[in-house]
Amino acid sequence: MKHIIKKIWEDTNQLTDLDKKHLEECDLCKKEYLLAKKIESSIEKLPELNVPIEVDKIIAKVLLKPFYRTWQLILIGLWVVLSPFLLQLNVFSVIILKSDEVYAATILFVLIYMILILAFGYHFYTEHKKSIEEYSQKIDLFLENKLMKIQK
Amino acid sequence: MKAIDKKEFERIVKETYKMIYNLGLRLFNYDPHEAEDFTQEVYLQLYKNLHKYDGKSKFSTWIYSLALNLGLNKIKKNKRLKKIQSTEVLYESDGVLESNPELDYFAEMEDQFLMDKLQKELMNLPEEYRLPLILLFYEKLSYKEMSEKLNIPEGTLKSLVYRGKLRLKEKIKELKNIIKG
Repeated sequence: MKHIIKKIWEDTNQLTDLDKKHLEECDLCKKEYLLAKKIESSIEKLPELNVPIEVDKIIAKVLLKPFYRTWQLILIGLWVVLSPFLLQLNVFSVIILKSDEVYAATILFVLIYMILILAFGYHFYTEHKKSIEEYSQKIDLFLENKLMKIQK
Repeated sequence: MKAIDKKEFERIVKETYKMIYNLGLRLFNYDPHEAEDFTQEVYLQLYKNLHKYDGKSKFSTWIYSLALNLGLNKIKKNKRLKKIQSTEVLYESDGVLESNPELDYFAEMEDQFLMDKLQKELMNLPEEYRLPLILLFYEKLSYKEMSEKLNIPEGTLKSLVYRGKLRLKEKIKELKNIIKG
């Protein structure tokens, strides 16, 4: 009689009718099968554990989270991608045309570009900082209100 | 979202957060911090994707599958997965496969006692064994689904499930020795 222990431990659900017949006749394989089944069943019946987290905190964090608007992100992306090309185009024009006006325009362009980078960078930095502060204040307020409602 | 939707959202979270948190525990090594982060991430995604719910399945089923996909994606991106992928398919070389004529010990154990011990041992199993076992027997994913979602070959997953079960079997043997001891 050939034992099917390896097959049992691979997957009890994939035993054939022939294997099942063998289980009826072979005590050893049957015991292995029952143990494998118990192991599978212990996983199927894993208990749910208690949740130590504050559900209101989750709600507050999700509802009050600051989201950037999509169009803002698209504009920033376009600007980041396109501006170096525009700058390069201008530099090529200076080299080819050898014109003082184009040269002056390029310097102006570089200056504007740098000012814009600084201005936008500063704006987004302060906005981001502000939104984080507002966000935590909102969460505190939300949780305080909840607590007051419960106490009432 | 309008004010009324926020109330609806609160109701949804309150009804489902235990289920999602427990899924997080099972997927992320029973680490409460990771489970909490995961729970929050799920609700952020839910808040953004609520409009995609088409009502074809039960809402709890829909949110559960959204959470499971999110969790599996996180696991796929995680470095821990490399360990799983590098595990070779080993079937034949296991000494534990030899037949054991002394298997009556587990039959004598109380079912609930054995179940508790097995569940504790499952939590202590290395992640590469525990995760496929949980996905297969608790989450009821097929090998094909697991393979697609985790990007691990089916053969490797089968080997991990097989070896994970054998490890649990070994733990029961050790338990028997302690009891007899």
